Amino acid sequence: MGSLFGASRSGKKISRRDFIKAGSAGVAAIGFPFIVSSSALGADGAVAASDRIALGFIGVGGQGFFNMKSFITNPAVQVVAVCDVNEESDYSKFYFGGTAGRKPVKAFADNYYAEKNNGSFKGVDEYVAYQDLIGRKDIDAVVIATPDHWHTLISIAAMRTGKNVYCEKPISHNVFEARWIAEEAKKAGVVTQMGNQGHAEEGARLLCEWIADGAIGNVHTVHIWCNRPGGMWEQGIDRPSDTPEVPKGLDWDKWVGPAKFRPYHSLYHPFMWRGWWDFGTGSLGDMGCHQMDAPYWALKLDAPVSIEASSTKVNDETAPLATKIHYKFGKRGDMCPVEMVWYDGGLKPARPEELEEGRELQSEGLLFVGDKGTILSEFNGGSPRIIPESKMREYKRPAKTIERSIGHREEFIAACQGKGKACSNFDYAGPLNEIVLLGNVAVRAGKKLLWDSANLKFSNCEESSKFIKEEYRQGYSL
Amino acid sequence: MKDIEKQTKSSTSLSRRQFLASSAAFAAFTIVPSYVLGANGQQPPSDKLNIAAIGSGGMGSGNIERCSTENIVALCDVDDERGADTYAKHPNAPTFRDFRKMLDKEQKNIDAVIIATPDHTHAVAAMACMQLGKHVYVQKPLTHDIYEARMLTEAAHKYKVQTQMGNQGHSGEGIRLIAEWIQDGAIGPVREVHAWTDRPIWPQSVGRPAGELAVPSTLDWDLWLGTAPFRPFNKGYLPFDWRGWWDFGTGALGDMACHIIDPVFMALKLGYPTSASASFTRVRLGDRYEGHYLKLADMNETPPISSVIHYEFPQRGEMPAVKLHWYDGGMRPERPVELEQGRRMGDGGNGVIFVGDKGKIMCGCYAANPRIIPEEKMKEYKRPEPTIERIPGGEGGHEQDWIRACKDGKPASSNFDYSGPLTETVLMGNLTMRMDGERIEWDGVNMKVTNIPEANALVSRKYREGWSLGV
Repeated sequence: MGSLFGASRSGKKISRRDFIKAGSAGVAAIGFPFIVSSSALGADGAVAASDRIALGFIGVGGQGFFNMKSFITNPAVQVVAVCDVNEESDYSKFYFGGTAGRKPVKAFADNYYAEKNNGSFKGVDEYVAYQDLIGRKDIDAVVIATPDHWHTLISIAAMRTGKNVYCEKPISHNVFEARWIAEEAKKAGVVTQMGNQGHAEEGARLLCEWIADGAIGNVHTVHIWCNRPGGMWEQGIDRPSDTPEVPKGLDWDKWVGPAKFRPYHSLYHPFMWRGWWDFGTGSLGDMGCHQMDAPYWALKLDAPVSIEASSTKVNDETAPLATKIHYKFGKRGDMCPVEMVWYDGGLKPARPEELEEGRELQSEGLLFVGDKGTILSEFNGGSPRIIPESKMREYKRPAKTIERSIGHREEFIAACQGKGKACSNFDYAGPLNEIVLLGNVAVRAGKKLLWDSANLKFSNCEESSKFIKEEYRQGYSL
Repeated sequence: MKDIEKQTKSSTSLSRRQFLASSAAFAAFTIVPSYVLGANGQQPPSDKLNIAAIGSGGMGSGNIERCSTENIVALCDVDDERGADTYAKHPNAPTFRDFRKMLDKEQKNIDAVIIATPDHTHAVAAMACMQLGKHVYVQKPLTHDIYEARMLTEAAHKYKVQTQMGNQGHSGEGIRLIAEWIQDGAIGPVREVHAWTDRPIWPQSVGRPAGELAVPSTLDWDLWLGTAPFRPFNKGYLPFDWRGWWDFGTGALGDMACHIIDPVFMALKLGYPTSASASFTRVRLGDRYEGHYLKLADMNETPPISSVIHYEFPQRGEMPAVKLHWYDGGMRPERPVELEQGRRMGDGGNGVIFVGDKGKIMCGCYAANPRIIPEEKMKEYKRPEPTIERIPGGEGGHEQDWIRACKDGKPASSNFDYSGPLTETVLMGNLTMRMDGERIEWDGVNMKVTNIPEANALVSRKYREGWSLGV
């Protein structure tokens, strides 16, 4: 299919993305001769085949499968390929349920299109190596949902081939990668989106508008709490000593990828990698990009000045069972300095005085504390309410000034079509990831860290630099 | 010396206890001057207390040794092995497994009792002793439940006995310095305090051990269970890990807060809190790989791995309302900006930070090494004259302070009038945790949760049949 793409005016090969972008800019004329093959992909008539975004999925375990089920229903999408180092795993013990992996997810997509097209669709392609998928020129965009340690490398490799990238949160495994991926995104000029869906929702926008409106005055403290890992995955444990056989259909070496090699264990895959420092980023990495998003947005947070953590027992292998992390931010424009406190593992902030008798803090949420009031919201900024409720009712809400989203995945696809913007793009999400992942460094450092953002180092703790940038296993750097 | 006691009793018809209790008032007239009997600086035998112990191993053994200036007249432990070392040191003391039998048989020979059992049997043992007119030294926390603490506090008055809780820091220098400095206004009015411990260092939030092990012949398991509901024996509970089970222990908070919060309670004259709330971990340790993901602990069974607890206290006289925050299991308060870089916070594992309007005081566990921070401010501070009486020997003199109280009738440093409400306050934290962390509003005087009626069920607990506090 790549051969169908002609040369651009500059003589370079034109990617499908360039083509579509160009098309939307009114240069449709070049387009027509090249898109013949799109019709073979299973048009449903609702969206012109030429406008459909060809999607490849890299990492189709629990979350990857979940993403696909959402993307595939978008008439502007054509799923063309899935890639996973694993054939199939049982996720019934985890919150995703069912099975996932290359085989079942391909089967799902094939069935989906077969039903829609009376069996005329020939099926999506499957790959073990992501390089093979991103090497395909007919693919416009990739949706990445591997374990965290693979996110940045695959995203950057994909962006360098001109692919638009939707990558699960966090988009990086460490602070260095967060900065790097944002720079690469800028260089590549592709559409990017981090998978923090709350960013597209109403709650985060209301929070931004109310706080800008001065609804609670100057916000000096934000409390963010998360109940994970809860009963979801293991943290606070040491490396297992037994070395079970690698399950059939899993390319374990590729799964480990850029991390230091270690033998397979079911404590890593499926699903359980989140708690392991080499692969995941713990509860904070899992939820921080959701939960810190609205504070980051509404309070225009930049790099923190200092980060300090305490936690249950820390070890070199896994994230602790519970942490409490204090981030300090300086003034931003006319906004006052703010302290952001993260709690996980079941810990919460003290119950705010404004909360009415009988109401309790939910198991995860956000509290914005200003000098004139307090706002309580759901974990991702959803359903914000000034507390007490009587104050909420009195509040004269400001005009809705921030553009509303058509949906997180939908806006990514639309942006790939040249329509609008993906709002949690890597330019936005990169610094957010840095904030999130600095918390993990503070947990591991065991002391208050003073952050020198410009130089990507701690001015008071040289030895913690090893957590900022990690080495890739030989053969896995780009 | 028993002969001497008999003579004293028969001739005065005062029991030895009454004799000792009233000695403060009558000492000058009734006691044979000790210098007559105790030449060469040795203590005269008639001045010696006859002390028994319930829980003779572990913590109890240390308490007993620090009381060995007196006559150790009877020893009790449900576990022969645990008690063995102490028994060997006091070969003349008869030994018992059941404290009730000991009290039955030996009560006439006993003036005072050291109680160092697991938390769940502190109250029944102490109450039984007090009802017989025995002075008591009870390990911290004074009791397992709030109700028990209140009952012991009242009983101390009713039975006119001398009491001491085993929070030895209360006899130390540090707690006095903090109280004097705060009284002096060194850091202005205090509205906020942070206290923390790195405990538990024993398992909490583990599943109940499976299976039934044979009870060793050296242990009376039924007596060890005492007031607690029956459960099969497992060595996982002994000798120390019972702390991590609500049926027996009171968790990291119960173990350490009577020490760590002690200076806060004393210096700020706290009294009963008006509310407590908490958040905590819920995951379970142990058999962790089973099923390959974390299981949630049964929080009705076991304290959490880590908790943060918030207490509120109302204004007291001139002193403003204060919030006290407790952290355990690795959680700590934020490092104060006043603390110089590289300097240890608290004593490393534990500590307290008093936040005043004009400054901060930091100390370790047992109120150790109190300092205004930064050190520069400490050095500038002109310390007030000591106003609080010092205890000879400080922390190490805690047991002896009780012995002194038993003899001269002047209450010991951490007598139950003080340590009862301190224990109740500590236990409020467990009460909120057992109510899922919900904010409990507390009417301390009436010992009542006012906002969640069902929480009142946790103020006391039901004893196993055959056991009663006897009030």
